[in-house]
Amino acid sequence: MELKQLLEKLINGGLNTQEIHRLQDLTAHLSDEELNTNLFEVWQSYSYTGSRNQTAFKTIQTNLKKILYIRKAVPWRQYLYRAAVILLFPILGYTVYQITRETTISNLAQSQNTILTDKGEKSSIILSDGTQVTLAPNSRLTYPATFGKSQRAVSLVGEAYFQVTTNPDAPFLVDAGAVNVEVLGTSFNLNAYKTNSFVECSLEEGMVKVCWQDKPNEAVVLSPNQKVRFDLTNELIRKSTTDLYKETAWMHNILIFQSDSIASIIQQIEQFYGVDIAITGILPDYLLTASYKENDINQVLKNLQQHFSFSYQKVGDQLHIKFN
Amino acid sequence: MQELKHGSYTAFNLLYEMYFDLLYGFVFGLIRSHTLAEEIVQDTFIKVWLYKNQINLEYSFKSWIYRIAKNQVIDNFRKQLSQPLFDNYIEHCEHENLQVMPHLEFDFDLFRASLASAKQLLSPRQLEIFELCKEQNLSPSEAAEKLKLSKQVVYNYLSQALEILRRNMKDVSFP
Repeated sequence: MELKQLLEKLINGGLNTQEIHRLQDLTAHLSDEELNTNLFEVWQSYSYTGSRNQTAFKTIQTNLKKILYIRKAVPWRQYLYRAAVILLFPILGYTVYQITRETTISNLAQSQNTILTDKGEKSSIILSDGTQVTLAPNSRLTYPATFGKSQRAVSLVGEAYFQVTTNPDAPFLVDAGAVNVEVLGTSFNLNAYKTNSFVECSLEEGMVKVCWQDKPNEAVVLSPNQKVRFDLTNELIRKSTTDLYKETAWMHNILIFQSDSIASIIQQIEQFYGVDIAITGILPDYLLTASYKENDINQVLKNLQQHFSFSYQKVGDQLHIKFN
Repeated sequence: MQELKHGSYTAFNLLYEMYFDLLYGFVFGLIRSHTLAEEIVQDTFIKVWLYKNQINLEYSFKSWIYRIAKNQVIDNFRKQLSQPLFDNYIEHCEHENLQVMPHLEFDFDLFRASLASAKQLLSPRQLEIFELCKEQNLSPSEAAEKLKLSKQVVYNYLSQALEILRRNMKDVSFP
């Protein structure tokens, strides 16, 4: 039987044993182009007449709103007494499943638990108090074995998204080296990579107090849709508003550049895809604004070549990029 | 579609409303997993929005979403098709007369889950032979050779195993 008919039978039902095996055989030996041509033909004549999968429809619709749409800022007073625990986006479960290769949980001598992610990996854990932490690539979360009872203190190197449960008896504290964050039941993103010259905290819901260890008198309290950036080089503190789209894009595997320099772009690509990049040639003086959602780094690189001129080549474990 | 290209989120929502059933039906029909279908449909619409300024107004939206979805669909389709027991899943659906509606709860994931619990009812020998023949794709004669048993004995164990599994996977809920 012809491939196109087999595909139609699979999609609409009615495939018998012989036909399913024939389909499996055919597909195994077919190139992607040939499979695509047939599939496209089936798609063109395909119409769906059944009833809607309401759960999937609503779930995805909600996720799309959260991931893509700009939120309006809400008066912070509404959140002051609210014990907010936001449910994790369902798709995050899948993407974490897809991307997480290894989660290293080790017990150090002083009864500390550590969670590590490599470049290009993400990891999600739930602490004993119900707080959910999603670790970005190349990050480390440490917390004592005694976490949860009378104190809730963790350490972060890198970046993570926190959804903290409310417990007035034990405030949640994050030590990110240069900066401390004190939390009151809330969702926020903390970016504290050692290789960056800044630490950034963005608040989605609830309330946090962010303290700079070097300047304890200049603590900043954040309301929802606000963020604060501590510039470690010039010691400037800057508070601004945000819709959290850019700051939490990494959680949905969306890579965003906003007037970013080439150097910054390359570093973000390294981290996002978990590759080691070696650069030769002179970096063009160019600021790029673009968004990508691609599992394949080649797609992104090809697109970038339309903006500035370079060639790239895989050499062993590294990616070599040469600017002309 | 033109409005979408110019950044209208209302247009995006409308297109989502209009094309969701079509895309979900198609993807699920091929891939038979709600988890994967949801992920693919969601990713596709995310990309529709992210790449909206590249829309070519000469083509229909139907062709456009296919172009965006096709890589993910083809990759996942190939993967599912080559999974051991996928053919058994399709056979089972046909046998039980389950309609391929997207709200068909009994997808491939559920099939494997109920199979896993039904397998616990098998004796060690039955389990061993079932896994060799059905999951690792050995022919009964190859299995017989590997286990140093006669082919007839292998066939017996296999049909016992299948009988027990079928009996215990019969009560699966479907709309």
